[in-house]
Amino acid sequence: MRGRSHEPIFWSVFGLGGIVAAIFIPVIIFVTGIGGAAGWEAVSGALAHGEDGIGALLRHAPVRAVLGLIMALAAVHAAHRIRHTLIDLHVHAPPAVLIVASYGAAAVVSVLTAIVLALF
Amino acid sequence: MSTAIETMVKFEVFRYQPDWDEPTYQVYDVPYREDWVVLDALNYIKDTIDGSLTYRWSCRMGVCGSCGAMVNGYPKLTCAAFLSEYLPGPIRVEPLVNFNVERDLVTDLEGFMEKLESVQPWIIREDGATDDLKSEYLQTPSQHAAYQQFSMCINCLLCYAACPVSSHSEEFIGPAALALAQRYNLDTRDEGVEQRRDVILKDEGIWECSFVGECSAVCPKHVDPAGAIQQAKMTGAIDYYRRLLMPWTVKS
Repeated sequence: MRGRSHEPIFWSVFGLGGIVAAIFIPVIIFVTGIGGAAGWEAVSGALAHGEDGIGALLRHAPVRAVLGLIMALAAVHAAHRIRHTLIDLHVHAPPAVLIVASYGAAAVVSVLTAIVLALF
Repeated sequence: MSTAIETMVKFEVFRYQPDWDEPTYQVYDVPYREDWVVLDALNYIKDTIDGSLTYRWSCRMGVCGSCGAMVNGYPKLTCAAFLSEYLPGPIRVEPLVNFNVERDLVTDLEGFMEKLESVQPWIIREDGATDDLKSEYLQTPSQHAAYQQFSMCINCLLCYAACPVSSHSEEFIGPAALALAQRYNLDTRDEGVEQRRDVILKDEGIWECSFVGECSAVCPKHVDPAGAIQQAKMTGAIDYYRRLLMPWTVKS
């Protein structure tokens, strides 16, 4: 079909990132940032295995993989929203420049996240 | 007889005539009536102050969709915008943004008409049976409910004035036409999904939409064009991946 858009690729990852961010990120913040600190037993119990709590959790490879995936999808979600907002605000840049800048930034965030996670 | 001084409301109305170089704003003082809407004020101006003021209107009751304008910068049906909501004024009335102005508050609808026609917003039957007036196509209440709200559109175009994408893309098919395309795509009596696909699945179709949602916020008939476009994006994305990964399952 002529004129077929390739936007579905960006849009579907954007949609997935939105769902993942909405469902998991509040839980992660609660569990690691609030629950543990408040001495919520299920969390502090799980964290108590290592001296450094969160670090012990992050030494499990599957935990790192899931966190990395959540961060990457959330970054793509944000990039897509920022790209379309810039267009709506009449930022006159060639479409390819906006695509590279926005999703490129998401890629950089994802790679940095992967590096940080790999250090544990 | 009341001795109280009549409350007046200042109107700043956008004026433009085809032989003018620049548009201008003209100020009119209109007496305040509790039960008046902006359209009543425009009619008062035209009848008693300035007969040259040009604007579209017909039904006065939110059905015909012809009296849309920007009221204090917000797209409204002027027949549904009560003066009491804008006190003490001034009330600025301008033609709907994102359209070319023909004269005063009258905008050029030609582009929209072309877009509307391009999505073929009517029931398409592969057997051409819509020509046969004796045919009967039964529909359950739930099948009817699937598209009913999208069929309430009165083509007032407030959604185009509210849409940030329409403000930068003249080709964008836009909220009302896409909602009507979805209305027929969801109708069980219709068989025109394939015929509408090419127009809807272009960038200028659903994919330019950035889901700001203002189209649904300003709609006086509570149609949800943003929702219609989201639904169409979902089926469009499934269609895209199917063509990519399982090309043998789709007709070209």
